[in-house]
Amino acid sequence: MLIVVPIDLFASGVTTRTFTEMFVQMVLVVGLYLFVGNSGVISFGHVGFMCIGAYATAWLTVPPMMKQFTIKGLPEILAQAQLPFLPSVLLAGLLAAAVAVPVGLVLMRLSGIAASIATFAFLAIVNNVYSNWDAWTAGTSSIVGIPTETNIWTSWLFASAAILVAYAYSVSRFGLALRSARDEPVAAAAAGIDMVFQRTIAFVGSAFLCGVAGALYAHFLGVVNPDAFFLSVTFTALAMLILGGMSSLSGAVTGVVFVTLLISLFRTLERGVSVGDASFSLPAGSQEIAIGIAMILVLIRRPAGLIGNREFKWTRSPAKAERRHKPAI
Amino acid sequence: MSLLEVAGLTAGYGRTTVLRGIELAVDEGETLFIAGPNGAGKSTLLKTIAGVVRPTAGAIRLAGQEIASLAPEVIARLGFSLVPEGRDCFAGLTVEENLKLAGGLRPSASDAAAELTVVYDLFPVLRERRSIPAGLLSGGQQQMLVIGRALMTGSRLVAIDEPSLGLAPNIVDQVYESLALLREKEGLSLLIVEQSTVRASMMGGRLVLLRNGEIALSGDAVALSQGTALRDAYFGYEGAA
Amino acid sequence: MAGLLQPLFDAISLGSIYALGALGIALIFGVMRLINFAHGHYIAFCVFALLIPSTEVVTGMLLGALPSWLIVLSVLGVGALLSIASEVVVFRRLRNANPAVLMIASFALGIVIQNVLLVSYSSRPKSVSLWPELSLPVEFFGASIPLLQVLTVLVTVVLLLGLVFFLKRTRFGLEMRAAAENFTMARMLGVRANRIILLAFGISGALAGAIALVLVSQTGTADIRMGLPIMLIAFVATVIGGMGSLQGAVFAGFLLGAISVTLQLLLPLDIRPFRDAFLYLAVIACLIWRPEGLFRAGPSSERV
Repeated sequence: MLIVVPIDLFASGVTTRTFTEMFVQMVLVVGLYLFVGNSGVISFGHVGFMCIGAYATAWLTVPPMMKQFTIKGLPEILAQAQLPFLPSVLLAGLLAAAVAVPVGLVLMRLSGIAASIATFAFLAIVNNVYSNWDAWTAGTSSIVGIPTETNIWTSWLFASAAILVAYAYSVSRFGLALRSARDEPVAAAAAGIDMVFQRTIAFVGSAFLCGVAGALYAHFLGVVNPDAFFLSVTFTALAMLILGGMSSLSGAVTGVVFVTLLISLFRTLERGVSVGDASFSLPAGSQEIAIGIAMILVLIRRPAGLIGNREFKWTRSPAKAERRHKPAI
Repeated sequence: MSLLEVAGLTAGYGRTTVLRGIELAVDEGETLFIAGPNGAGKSTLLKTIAGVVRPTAGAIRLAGQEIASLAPEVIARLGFSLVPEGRDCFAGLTVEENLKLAGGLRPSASDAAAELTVVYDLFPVLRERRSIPAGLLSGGQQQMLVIGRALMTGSRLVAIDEPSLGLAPNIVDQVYESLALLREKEGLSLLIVEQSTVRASMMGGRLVLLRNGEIALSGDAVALSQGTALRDAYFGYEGAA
Repeated sequence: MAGLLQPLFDAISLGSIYALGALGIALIFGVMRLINFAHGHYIAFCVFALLIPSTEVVTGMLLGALPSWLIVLSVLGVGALLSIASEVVVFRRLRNANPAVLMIASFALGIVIQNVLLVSYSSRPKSVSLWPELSLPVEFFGASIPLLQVLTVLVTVVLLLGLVFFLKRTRFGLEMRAAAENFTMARMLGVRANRIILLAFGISGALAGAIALVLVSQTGTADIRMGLPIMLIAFVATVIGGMGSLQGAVFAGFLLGAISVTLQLLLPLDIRPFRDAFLYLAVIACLIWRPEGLFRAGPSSERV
């Protein structure tokens, strides 16, 4: 994580923005990992919490003068509010977590693909409501005037904190209980683990992180708009998680870094590169084509993800692991 | 030459090795029982022969041809038919569709139609219920269906994983009676996984005992069931050979 | 009576599109547990195959210049070929990967297809006038229904009947149903896995082509994002119907079409924009009520 220092000191504005965005993505993907990695349920819905967080911080921090024009229907207390960055971001996360409690209690009774679809339905509902709730969200038009306080330092701090939270959760008895229910549902139930309850805890925790990520993203861009928190972000976040290795925290972090580097590499190529006398650039859209192909190639080569569901610190050489696991059956 | 020969077979899942150096052979018309405690690797052995689990080492020859690592559908076409544990009939397909599906391995449609009559004569209850979904059959009827399905493939070697699993004793008797009948009338070679060594000694044939992925004992089923060697090997007492 | 006929036709024709989409997704899911997120992009690709590649707003017809019957055949063929190509190039190499990885791969493939379209046609929607005479209304029990809606329903019914015949009466159909239920067991009975999967991809792609034709003649535009909303609803329909159950997928497709039109009709004007939220609430309720889907693949399923 020391890379932040040289970037801040020497790098160009573009690189700083790239890395700031990467750390915000990291908060989101680590949040997603907290639920998906530990429960084994693929969620399409977490970007919905990101959306909730982003709008919450907009309600709390946009200067009251500007709110009068864009979002006229806010209640007096919100319309007058102008909180500083940190409390607003945390409150945004708390609102997302609060929404996650009833949603989780209902959805977590489902398993497998039915649960995934239900989370997608949640995302679609959030998107539909925020796109049409004109009085509070200005509909599909953007809310502007959010103080741009997410910089490389704050985003790095939040990313580190998110990693710590996710790590603390996964080694806690809650994380252990949920992972055991993921791997051996029957045995875990027999051991008295209430899977619905455990999943709901993870769901709420990860919703908090995703809400924070949404707020950070709002403070990064300065504007919010419901379609910024819909399918493409959902897929990018899932792709990062799964490319890295969805059952490990290290995988989540690696996936974010890998995809960010990939994207910025092709963005640079698309802008044009000069090699010696010749300079070439790729047509618009080719960036995405190359990223898509690169993702497919990685998946074909490493179907378990780049990290292969291990954690950095516990990595053993395969030969050693083989010897330790003397065949038992 | 044996119909099926397995030599030095090692296989497993991921990093876990389940089978180590298995050697066995089934002759034309012979019945071989594979017995052993839970987790010994009995089902894995059958699945490896069928091509569902990939062997990591060793050879499997069917009628002299090397089949290790071939695709399951290729192995099926070479004449090996597996009836897996838990019967695995296609619950949504009708009884007759289940049988016809397997008949696709026969060289001609008329050949398959003729075999269908043979199967229906052997298990009249299947003819009676031929147009209902297989999932609505009772456990015993499903067992008959999957045995009939194996017959439809025209394989000379039929492997059956735990035919008695979850069935009432009198139904198990019926299943074994039909297997014995098939052995006599059709000259089929059978490879039967069975936890109960009593069944093996009742039906007769050779028996190998699998324990911890290795063959612990082998010999004639009737002879083995009389001494204590089998019991000792089954439970892994010291000194068992 | 006449007043209800129009919404009824709206519901059936919308449901037809959803049903065809859900069927395309369920076919692939059945044989290889892949939720193919590229399916919506197949639809868009088929639409653009009608046009000559150009980034200008107006462009000439490519396949669209052919006689009508050849347009239909060639668009279905383009869909089938694209779908088969994605199996051969991408999915075949991921045979042993888990469903999440397959899904992300299909999503990446979708990005590639969408941006290939973007590079060759630009992101601006283009107007396409394919069979404009079809939007003329016809008298139907006193209500005037656009000919196109009647045709959409007819095409869907014909395709569904054809598929039922294929699945129930042909050898390939039998093998495909068996493979959808238990792929490994089907292989152990000699069913040639790769051939069945290719066939499933081919049919699924041709269904995407059919949707493309219906959509483009309904809307008169070609947009690189046009397949996505249908794919999402179709995906939901597949799950509500019971993953792997083809009749369930079709039924749920029509059900979602009906719910959608009913909500549009019955919701008060000021909450009508929230129609989709109610639709997805109904989806969640449905999943809680029947997590396995309305039709479980297996013994309890009925004949189509």
